[in-house]
Amino acid sequence: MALLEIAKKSLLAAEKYLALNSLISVQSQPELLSQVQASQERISADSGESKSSIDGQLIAVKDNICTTDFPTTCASKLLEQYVSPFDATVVRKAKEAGAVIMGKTNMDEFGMGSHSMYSHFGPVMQSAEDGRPARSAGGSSGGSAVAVATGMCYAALGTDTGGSVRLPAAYCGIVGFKPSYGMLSRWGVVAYANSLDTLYDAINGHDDNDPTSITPQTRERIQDRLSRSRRRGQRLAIGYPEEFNLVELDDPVRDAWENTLAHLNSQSHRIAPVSLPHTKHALSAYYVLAPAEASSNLAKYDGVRYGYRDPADRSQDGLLFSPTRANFGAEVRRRIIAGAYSLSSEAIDNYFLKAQSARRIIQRDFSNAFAQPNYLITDNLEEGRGKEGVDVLIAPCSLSKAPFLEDVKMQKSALDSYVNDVLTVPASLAGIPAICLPVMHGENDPVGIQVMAQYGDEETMWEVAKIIEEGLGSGVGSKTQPTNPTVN
Amino acid sequence: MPPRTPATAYICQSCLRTFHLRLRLHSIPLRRLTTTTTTPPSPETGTFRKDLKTRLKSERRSRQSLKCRTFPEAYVVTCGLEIHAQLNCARKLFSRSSTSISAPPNTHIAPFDAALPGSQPRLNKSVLLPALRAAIALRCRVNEVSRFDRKHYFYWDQPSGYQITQFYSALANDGHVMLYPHDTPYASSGGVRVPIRQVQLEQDTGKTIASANVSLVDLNRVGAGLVEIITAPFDIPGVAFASAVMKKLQATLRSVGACVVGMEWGGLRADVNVSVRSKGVQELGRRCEIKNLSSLKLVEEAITAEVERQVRILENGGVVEGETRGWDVEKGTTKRLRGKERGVDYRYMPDPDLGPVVIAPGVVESVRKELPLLPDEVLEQLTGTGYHLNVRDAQTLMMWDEGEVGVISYYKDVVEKVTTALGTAETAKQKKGKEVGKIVGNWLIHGLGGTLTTHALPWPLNPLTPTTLSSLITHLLTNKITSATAKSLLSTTLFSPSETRTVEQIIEQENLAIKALSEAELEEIVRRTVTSDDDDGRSVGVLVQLRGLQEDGGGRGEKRKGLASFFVGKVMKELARSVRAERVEAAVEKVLREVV
Repeated sequence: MALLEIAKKSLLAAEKYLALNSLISVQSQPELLSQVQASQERISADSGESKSSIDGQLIAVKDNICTTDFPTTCASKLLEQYVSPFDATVVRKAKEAGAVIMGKTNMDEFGMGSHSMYSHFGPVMQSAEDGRPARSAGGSSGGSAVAVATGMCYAALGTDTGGSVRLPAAYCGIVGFKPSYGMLSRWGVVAYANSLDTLYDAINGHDDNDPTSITPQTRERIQDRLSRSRRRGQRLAIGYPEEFNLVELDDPVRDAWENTLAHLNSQSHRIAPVSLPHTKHALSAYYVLAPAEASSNLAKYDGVRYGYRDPADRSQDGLLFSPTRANFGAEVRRRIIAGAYSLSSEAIDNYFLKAQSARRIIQRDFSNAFAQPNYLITDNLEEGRGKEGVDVLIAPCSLSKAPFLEDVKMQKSALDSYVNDVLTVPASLAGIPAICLPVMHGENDPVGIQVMAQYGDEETMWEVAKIIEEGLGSGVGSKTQPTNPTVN
Repeated sequence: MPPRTPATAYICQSCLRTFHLRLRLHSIPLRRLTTTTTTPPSPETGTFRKDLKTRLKSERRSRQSLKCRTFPEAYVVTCGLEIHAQLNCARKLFSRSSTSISAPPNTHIAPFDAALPGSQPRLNKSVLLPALRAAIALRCRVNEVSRFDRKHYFYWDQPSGYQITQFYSALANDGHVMLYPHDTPYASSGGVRVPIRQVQLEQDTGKTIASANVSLVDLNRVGAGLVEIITAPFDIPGVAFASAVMKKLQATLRSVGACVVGMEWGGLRADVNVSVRSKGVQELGRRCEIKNLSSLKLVEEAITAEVERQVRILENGGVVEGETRGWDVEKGTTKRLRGKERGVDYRYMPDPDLGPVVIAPGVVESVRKELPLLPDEVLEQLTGTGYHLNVRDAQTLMMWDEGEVGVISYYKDVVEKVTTALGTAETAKQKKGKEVGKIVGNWLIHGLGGTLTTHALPWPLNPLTPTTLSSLITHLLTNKITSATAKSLLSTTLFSPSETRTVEQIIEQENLAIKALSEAELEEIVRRTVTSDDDDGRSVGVLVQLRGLQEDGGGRGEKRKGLASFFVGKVMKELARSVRAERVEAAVEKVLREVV
């Protein structure tokens, strides 16, 4: 189909599903179509060369990724009208690859949430079928997931701090991918928890502006080491982490997980149980570390230089900027307070420092499971598990399929929704790549299953993802070819 | 789409442009030590000598007045300093915008400086060099690995809501600075050792300019690199000792090029901890911290007032509370800002964006090797056998050279050139008992310095090259010209902007070389001058006065000497100063005895 046709169809979808509230800003139709037209002309010109596989495709961008063409609100009242003077590196690279940015997607405020409910612009909803109540789109990149699932765009950029891409992908039945930490530039991505944020698309690469971006030399070294010892064209060792088999898993989810393993086994790959003994500490470590970093990162929103400013700058008891900061949503305020507490001098030893060491232990658990070592940390092949280890880990992405928004709102405690991240957070803490795929299971809705691989070993991850998609794919995510990795 | 917020209005357009261009300069070269681009106009412009004199005088005066202000006998005062000094670096600690102290407000701000969403820090490695110089000059142990932490607090001049500093592991620890009698009268000749606990890197904040109804914020300074130097607590015998420590630290930092801007330009600020205890008690008293003192005078005043306050409390049987205090300029007292028990919790957190600073083995050694001499070493050198200056002249040169304007290297250059020239010249004959270093010092300080002052020229505009001055001095020392000729050449001809000839050429063309006149020839010229009537009878008039004196019997007094010098001057002029003044004086005396 011609690019222009695809774009027009996407715009129709955007109109049709407007009520799902997945977009915060949208580019005007004439402007979008003229940009697509330009790509079209470039491709059909004499050389016929497209700039990339995303040349002329519509891409939606999560609203915590800076763009000069749209406001970047982070779904917060504090940045309601904020327009960044620079594009995030990933946006710049997408544009340079010919992608057309169609708009900015709705999310949980500053990425804090698991259902995309905590937005200043109202909650995101997942397509409600047959008049049944709306389901949760997952969070925090719910808007991005819905935009892809409803065909508004070719792909969308999200951010995945603790599962914010994978959980919505699982709930919406699409593909969601979180690359190894440091592969994509975070310059221009509004920080929530710096040491955990990642996002990806076809154009990864080193960025000098991002101090946590992995250097070209290191990338080269890691790829070199991995390729030397990778089991190419052989039987792969597929692990399933026993600790992910939680009592709370819904039956259809467990069934889909089993199905996936059975399918891989039928393709003559070896299946083995793997123990990640410290997984049970992952969620609590994450909910100490992420709010701590958030409380620090969000300290800059005082309304002085940009963003919303309360007419009164100080509270009655003299606290500076406190009235302005009261305009954060409830969930953000909750996490700022929790984070500030865990960093306070009385609590830091007990919470933040302990969570940091838990994180290191969890990273070690993963490294001990894989055949290859984590080459970011070591250059010694002997430190991997070798033949005893596995090439990838397969686990579900969510405890259940998408819950009804009504039920989520009825939850007694905000902490209830933190539990949803229990399956995605371990890979986040380990910094390893993980992809969530919709896996069909009989006549039921697809279930999100994730493939996790050693740090930097996206290649093996894609290989396994492809096998799963070919055998059990839903067809929904099929437009996202594993060889052309895009997010959500 | 909602209307754009004017977020870009806060960003320096040129910084933004550089930022977008992603700056091709991979490594920004360090500024040379002698660069003056961001240094404010030198305070000694034109009137260096006078200025130095006033400064020395005021120092002496303040030392004297402070001697009266010794602390109450029964108490020991202990002090701890935390000094923040701006590092000598062209760019900020974590962004590419340039540092400046004189640019219009809010013109040097990168996205990270303004804490724009999505921006990240990037360590500017060239900041490490001046910081390492500071640490090494302060005799610290440089840590192989140090890290950055965030210190959280809300204030409008701190855009990110935290300051990036080094809390858990600093750049360097455990150093010291020595104070000698030339630094403070409180020091014995062996010196006093003031221990330095830590040297750390951190970001500067913005500046607040308060006006009637609003506070204006200038973010140019935000994120500039600072070193914070923390001393261990040390006893102070008098308040001037604390400021002498500050002065010594400032001179040390300056001499190695770690910092260029002094206290007078806000480049150095101090927090001072003060505690008082009874004599004989070992344990330190409860300390109070006085924040943000921006001049030596304020440091002295604040310590004096704080000691008085604490002593008063103790005398009344009270207990000093540990607290943070500020200095009230108008009242001249410290005032309570907050108590320690409900102090601000800075919630220190390792910065998740920034990796550790790893100093490779060998770096410290190579920086140490390249380090210029420290002030004490310079003083030792100038007063030592190589140069023979007295301490006063050496200190005058060093003070003149503040900010590395090049006076001392000029001086050394001239000494070397003169020494070489004298060594080869056959007629070389040093002035009796005076070393070249001393003579050059005199000519530099009194001759050249004085002339620069007369012409209202700052040092960098000095028209004399070291070659010119050394040639002049060599001609004098080898008896080619008289000292009067040398003085007159220095103060007039050589300062003329159109003068392009060498000293040698000038002497030759203007016939200034010492003339080999016999006594008789010289006396003949003197006789002719004394008896001439080509000056409207002035010579005759002087002669008449001399005769009058003679008759009154006052033949040898000051007045006679003054009258005789009229003829000396006249003869010197006639001879174009090419005969030494002593000879002319003798000849005039002889002739006058004949004619009067």
